[in-house]
Amino acid sequence: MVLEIEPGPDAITLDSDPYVIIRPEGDWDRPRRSRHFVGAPGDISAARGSIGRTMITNRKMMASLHDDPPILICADLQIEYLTEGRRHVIADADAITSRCLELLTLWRKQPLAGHASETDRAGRMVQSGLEPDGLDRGTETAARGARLRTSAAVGI
Amino acid sequence: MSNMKNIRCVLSGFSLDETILSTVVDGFHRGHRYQVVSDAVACRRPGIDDAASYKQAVIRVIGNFAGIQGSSDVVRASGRIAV
Repeated sequence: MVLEIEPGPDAITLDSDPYVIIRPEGDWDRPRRSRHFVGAPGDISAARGSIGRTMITNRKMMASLHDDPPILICADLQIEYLTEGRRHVIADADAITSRCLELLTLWRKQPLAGHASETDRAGRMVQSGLEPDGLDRGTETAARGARLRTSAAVGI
Repeated sequence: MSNMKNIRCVLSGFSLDETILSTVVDGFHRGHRYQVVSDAVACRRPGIDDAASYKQAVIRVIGNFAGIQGSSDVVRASGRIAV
């Protein structure tokens, strides 16, 4: 038996935004747990569009956050790529490493939001796992006076 | 990683066509939203064609899953990082 009814105003269709359709957690009828991009079902229209258009508006949506979530800068600087005999693998590694350090330095100088103190900033270096080819990950690389060791992921 | 939804994450470093690509694609399907700094990411050299074209192609693909910004966009005139 088929009942023909009018779709609801916020019906999810194939034209709906991927951010709306892809809901690994399910519960399409309830507001998304993430407040960032998709709110209540009534907000779906604001997020409709193709993937490309959504990505273009991604920044706009982020700017629309009513609160000011912290920024996390992640710089993946795996020095395994920069070891002797393998440096040629990555293009412009030195220039990119320097730029990453500049961004990290700026970010580290940035005051924390609210009343958080500097001691609350959870910056840390994260060492990557051993490469499948068994390259020594203990090597360090120097860039602009700072010494980096494998991957750098820096927290808030 | 559930806390990732409550922060704005900026990605840089290398390699663009491996770790960064997989991070943004995997994160996209988990509801994470990333901003990739296009001039602060390095790419592996391709076996064919030139490196710059290859990097641009990878960046275009990544653009389907994350925002793409230049470092000048990320670093505002005030010297603060903003996304």
